[in-house]
Amino acid sequence: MRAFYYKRLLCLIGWLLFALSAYAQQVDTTKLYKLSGVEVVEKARVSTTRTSNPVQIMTSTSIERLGMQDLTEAVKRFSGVTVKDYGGIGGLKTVSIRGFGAQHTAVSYDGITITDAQSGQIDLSRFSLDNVEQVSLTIGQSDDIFQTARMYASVGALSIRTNRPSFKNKDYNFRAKIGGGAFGLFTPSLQYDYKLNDRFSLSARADWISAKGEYPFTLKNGKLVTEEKRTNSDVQSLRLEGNLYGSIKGGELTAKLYYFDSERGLPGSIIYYNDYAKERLWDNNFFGQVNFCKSLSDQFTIQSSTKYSYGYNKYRNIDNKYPDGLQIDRNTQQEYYLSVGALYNPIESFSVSLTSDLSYNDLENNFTNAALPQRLTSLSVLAAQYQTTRLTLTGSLLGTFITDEVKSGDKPADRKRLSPAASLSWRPFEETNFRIRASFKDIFRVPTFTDLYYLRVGNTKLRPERALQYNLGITWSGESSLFRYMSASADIYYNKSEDKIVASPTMYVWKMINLGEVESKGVDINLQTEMPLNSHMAVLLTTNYSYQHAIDVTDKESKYYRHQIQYTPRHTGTGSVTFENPFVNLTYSLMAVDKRYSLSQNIPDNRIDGYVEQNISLNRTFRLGRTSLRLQGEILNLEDRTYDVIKYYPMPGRSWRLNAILTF
Amino acid sequence: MKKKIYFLLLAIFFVSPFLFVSCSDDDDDPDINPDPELTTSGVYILNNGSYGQNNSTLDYYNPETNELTKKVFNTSNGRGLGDTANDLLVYGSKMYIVVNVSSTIEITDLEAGSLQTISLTRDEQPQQPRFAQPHKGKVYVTTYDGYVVKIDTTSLEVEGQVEVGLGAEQLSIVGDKLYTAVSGYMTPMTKVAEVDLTTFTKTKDFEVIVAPRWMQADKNGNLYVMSAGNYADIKQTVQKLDTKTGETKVICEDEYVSMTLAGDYLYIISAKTDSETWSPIDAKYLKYNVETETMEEKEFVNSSVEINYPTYLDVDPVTEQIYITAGLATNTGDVYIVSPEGDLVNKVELSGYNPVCSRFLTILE
Repeated sequence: MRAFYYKRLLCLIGWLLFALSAYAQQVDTTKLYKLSGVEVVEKARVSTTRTSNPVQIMTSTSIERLGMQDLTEAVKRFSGVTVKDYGGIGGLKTVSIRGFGAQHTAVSYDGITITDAQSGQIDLSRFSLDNVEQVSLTIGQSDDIFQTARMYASVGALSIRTNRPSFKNKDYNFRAKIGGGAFGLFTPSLQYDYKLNDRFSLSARADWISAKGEYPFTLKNGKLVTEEKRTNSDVQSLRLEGNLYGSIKGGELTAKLYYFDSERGLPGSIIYYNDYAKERLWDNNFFGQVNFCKSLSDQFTIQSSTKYSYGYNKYRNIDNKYPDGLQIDRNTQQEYYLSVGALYNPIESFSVSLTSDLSYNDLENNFTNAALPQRLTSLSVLAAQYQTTRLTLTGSLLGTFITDEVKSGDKPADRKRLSPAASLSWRPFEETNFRIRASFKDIFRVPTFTDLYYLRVGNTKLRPERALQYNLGITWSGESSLFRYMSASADIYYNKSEDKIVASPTMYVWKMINLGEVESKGVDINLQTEMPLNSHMAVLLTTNYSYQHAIDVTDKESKYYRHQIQYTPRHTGTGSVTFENPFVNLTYSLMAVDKRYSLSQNIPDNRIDGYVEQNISLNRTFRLGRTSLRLQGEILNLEDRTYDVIKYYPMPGRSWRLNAILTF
Repeated sequence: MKKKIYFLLLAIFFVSPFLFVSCSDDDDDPDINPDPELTTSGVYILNNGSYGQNNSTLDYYNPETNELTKKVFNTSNGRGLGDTANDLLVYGSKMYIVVNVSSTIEITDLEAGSLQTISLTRDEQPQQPRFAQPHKGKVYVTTYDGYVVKIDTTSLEVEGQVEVGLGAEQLSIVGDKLYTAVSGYMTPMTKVAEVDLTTFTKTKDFEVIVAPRWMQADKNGNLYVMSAGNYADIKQTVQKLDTKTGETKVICEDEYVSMTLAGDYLYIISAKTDSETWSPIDAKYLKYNVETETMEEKEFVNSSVEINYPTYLDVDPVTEQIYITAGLATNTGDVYIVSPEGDLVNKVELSGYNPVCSRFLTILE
């Protein structure tokens, strides 16, 4: 059955390749992209085939087309990534790149990274796609050299950019959405944009997600097959966001206030013969950030970003094995952050930037003898770029200094390190848009507060986890009478992860240790095209395929030496076909994921079967003057298949969603 | 496995002083060997699995053929044991498999065919059972929520519960008294609780080193209690507890300690923890004579035998071979079978993660 789907996917890819061969080529007419003050803030859409590192972009148009609602749904459609999804609306969702841990992926929201010094990984389930203009994933180092230093300090970056209001002959925009779906899903949201004057505008939005999340699933325990229901998987979350956009003396200012509040049940993993689940989690997060960017002259641009972030979470478990039948953990995190950078363009084709970031993080909790760590991080990056229409060369050097303070217990030694990255993109033939790209990056992640200090489990002797990346790829893009647009890329890579930080069992407790070397080799292929049928109708196709051979090479004597690492499929493919027409826009999409293993050892007991998920999305927009009403519906998991992304965390079967969006 | 077990079924737990002998009801007219000899017919090895993976398994080892039959519970019943099976008791013609996170007691015949599954709950919460011991037709099970649960071995039903303290762990029965380690689970405690089985009430607490986990009783009624310590200044410790006076005496302490009692000997694995990998290294295999209260000079595993990450151990009551389970919790485990002279008899790869105990089926033939 699975083979059948892979075949179907291969047919789709084959068909696209055939289309390619019959295609008349045209020359890349892209103009040299010169940075000016305004453009730095509002970047022109990056052409993914011109970048020297793999970049994948999902715009609001594609997001709407595919009917996606949460960020994970978009990220799952990128190649070279593995999304861990614990199922349901409120289940933890993280993204890892090409065999590296999720802590290696930076997540930025409107240019400034979101951090979690405690766990080191960002839960994508808390982001909605409602007001998102673009989600992009860069593997390796981005070609944009004028970014915060933090954006250099990761294996790759997932960047979320919200839409900036534009006003056409009026000084306000209003958008209201009401959405609902299976398993008690209710997702209303409101957005109001207001133009204060020619220089300043405001945008405010609120959205709420409520879901019961009690979905049915089929549980197989050997020959015993039962129909069960997921319980304690309800979620309530509120998000408030305010943005100010302005220009002051030729500089661009953006400021944001963000508030997130949620309560959710944690259904936990399925345990045979025991469906008790009473764990709950409360999250509370606030941040404020300001970015200012200004061109001082034709050659010189400066920018500065600052952020304060507060995060609180409370975990509660009701279980009589705890004193008074209750376990409550409370954690509070704070971050103060400042980034200052300058960009210098002495000549048209050459630019150099210098950026410094300084941040302070602390963590408090209600544990006895807790370390209560504080961390000061200083990152500085020097980057240079040479860019012509045919060649882009980028190089950077990141310097890191980190020092921790603790209230009790040991603290690790200060950490200093230089991390280089280099990349090139070259169009060898003047007459075609065919490009070759190559890149290298040597980066690391420092142990998180949990890795270092968590009760008994933490280990202050940990070394940073090192990540080496090499990428080589070819890209091509063009247009013709048959295709309005087509782009294709294929990359091969080799990665190595050393001193992996893993939880290792000792006699009675788990301990974080530096153990583990992972070697990853892989291929990512992406194809996108748009074919107009007539002036009103078009067919859009996207497809990608990933091959990941990520194996544990830690210990030759071990029972899992050269086994595929946990939760990493060898083959993954996605595809979507959209038929745009004046009546109802229709998108069919599928995702096929190979088998995976839940533990290091690749034995049948640890295997998680592969799956195919098919979705259908329909939408139509009605317009009356300035008012538009968009109706959108989706059917997810069309075949109603029970599958696991994480073992014993079943995903929902067939479900539906409906949304009505009113804008004026 | 299907070999007919015909005369006496002797179920021997690692507390050999309390080994229980019962006649099989099925065979009315057994062939009586004029000169019967006790032999070990089979060994069950229980694999705890990994938390949240529902991968507890039961393997069967035939010491005559040296063959391992993997996952016999799954094969016999077409379903899994569940999550983190922690203890196995062979008593009479039945086995009691204690499954911690699944919170069940699987009662099976001696070929692991399920007779009854008891879900242990109290206040509509899973009690998370830990260990089981038999006494006079009842099986007593300790639970994480702090109870000793009494199960009747004929009706296979729960008859009562008595509160002993959070995180009740291993238990021993001496006369009509039951003793259990009270670890405190997440909030470490220092108690060993005593329960009078005639009245089924808790009678007193003894003080021991913090976080007691395991205990065994010798034939004189002395308890040997292993405490996990606090992972800082208090190491893992094996101590002797005199239940008459409440006095304790430290026998062995180390960063990593595991023990079992067989006959007059306490077998102890004592190891260091590697500061880099936090794995047990430099294991010493100590044999302590509980009668003479002296440590044997010779280790019970010869230095030529290399065991990677030894964890738990049990001793075959007939052959006195030592079954040492081993392996990191990140891969399927092994069992090393060591002769009474300390030589390696066999090394067998098991089906599951974290093998926790070996239990012996013995017959007179």
